[in-house]
Amino acid sequence: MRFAVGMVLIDAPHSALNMLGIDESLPDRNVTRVKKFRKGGKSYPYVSPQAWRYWWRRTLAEQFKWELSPLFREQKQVFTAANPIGYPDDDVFGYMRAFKKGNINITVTRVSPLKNTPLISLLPDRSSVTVDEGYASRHEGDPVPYSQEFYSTVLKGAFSLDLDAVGRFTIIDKAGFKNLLREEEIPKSLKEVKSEYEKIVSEAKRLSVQMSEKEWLMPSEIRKKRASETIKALRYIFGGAKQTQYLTDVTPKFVVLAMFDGGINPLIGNIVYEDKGGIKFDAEALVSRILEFKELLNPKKVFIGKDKGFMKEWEEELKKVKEALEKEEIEVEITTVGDAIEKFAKEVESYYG
Amino acid sequence: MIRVKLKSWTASFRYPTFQSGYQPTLPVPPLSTIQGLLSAAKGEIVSFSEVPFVGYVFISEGKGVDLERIYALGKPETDVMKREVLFNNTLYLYLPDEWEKYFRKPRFQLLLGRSSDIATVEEIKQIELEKCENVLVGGTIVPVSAGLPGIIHALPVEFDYSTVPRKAKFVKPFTILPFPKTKGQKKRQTYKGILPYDSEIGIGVWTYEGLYGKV
Repeated sequence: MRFAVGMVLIDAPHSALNMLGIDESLPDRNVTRVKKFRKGGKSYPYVSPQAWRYWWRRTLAEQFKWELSPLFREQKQVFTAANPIGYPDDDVFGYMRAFKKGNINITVTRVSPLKNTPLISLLPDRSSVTVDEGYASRHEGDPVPYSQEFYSTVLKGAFSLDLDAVGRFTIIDKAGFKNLLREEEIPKSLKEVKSEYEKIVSEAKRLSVQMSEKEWLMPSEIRKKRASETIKALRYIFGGAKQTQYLTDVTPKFVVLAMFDGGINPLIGNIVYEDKGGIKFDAEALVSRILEFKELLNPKKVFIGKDKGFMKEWEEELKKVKEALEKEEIEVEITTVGDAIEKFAKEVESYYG
Repeated sequence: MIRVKLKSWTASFRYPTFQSGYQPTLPVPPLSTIQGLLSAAKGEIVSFSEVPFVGYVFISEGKGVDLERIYALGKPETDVMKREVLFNNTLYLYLPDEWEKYFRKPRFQLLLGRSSDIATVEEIKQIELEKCENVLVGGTIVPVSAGLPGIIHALPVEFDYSTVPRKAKFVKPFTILPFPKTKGQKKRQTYKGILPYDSEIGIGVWTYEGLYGKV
């Protein structure tokens, strides 16, 4: 069991990456708001976890030529192919395909090996959000006023990828663990399902997937490719609303990456925090979080990537992290974001031998 | 016993009776969420019948509303649903000592709700709770028989994972008690009987022992 985990910061100097829609509580109904969490008297803009995931999935398709699982619509529902052999995104992002006809229930579900938090603003709205007053006009007739919120902040996010689960499909009769069907349980009357399934099986045989009664295991080369590309995509990630007007680069400007032999992500915490309208980095917090789980850290390496132009004053603090952790025999690589992600992806690859 | 402190940026606990456009979150997790956490940590489905006692206290600092695109039954076009999400959360779990090894090295990712609600183990410590009378309770659910005022709701205790999709195995009414913050809440949420008391957080811990061997 091993988990590749990370914490990222996305610089959003003028952005509205995920909108809530029109504020219906106002009489004018012409203010479009960004999404926010409330805490005490303050609010914090954020981007939905599903939005970040969507960008991630699209980036894998565009940059790594992943063939995305198609959406099928049956009378009442829509779902992906639920074919993790043929479609890498079904493997990494999980699925649920509920299937019931008459009394026959052949539902398959897969818990997503990749989990991610939302992207949450470090600054509260009063020091990051503004309302832009706009007018729609084309020189003819009266201009139409409208208002739209946008923010200037740094967003924090975290993720965890279960390396053991990538390319490993269980066929256990438990919710979340029944990733695939057994051939014999598909009734003859469901010809389409049967032939669809036969295709999956023959594809699995072609790829020399190890197929036992309770589990299918893809060849390690494929698992390696899927897992490492998922990590590498972070470097190129793109997406978000209002890009025409704000053109936000959503690639991370700061990353901390590590692998642990346990389903934990110690990087979810207050390693970066707000202080009087500024964003600070807490070297001690990072060191203590890593040391707390030192025995699970495997390999004993932490990758920290920072864009040169982002938070110059953190460089001294990062040196302290390196010193403190290297005293405990944990290697710390401080480099650019792209390099940190590439090196980390190499470590991920080595897990698969 | 041990106390496991979990933290997460977000959390969401499904309100069982809501089905339509708006999905509110319960202010505290139901027991079935605790079952899920124990199962993720151990790496296999855990039943409360195997756990001699369990108690929990959940504290959330805030809330927000998220939008989600959904594919509704019987409608060809997609819909947008509103979902409440809790923000900056802490969950304390009170468990028998043998659980330390599972929470030191959880088999799966720990989640406080959905897959985006990733939690982190911040601390695991040995703790002795003193039994006290007239203690404040909250951040948890208590049986209706406790006689404390609050919203009463039928909540799942445990899920049966042997069917796909899973089914609630055991549903019971509980009083939902958010972590007391205001004076009024503190006054209402004082339990007259005797309860283990966590003096560090200043809260009584409702401990479920009756589920052992029974669920």
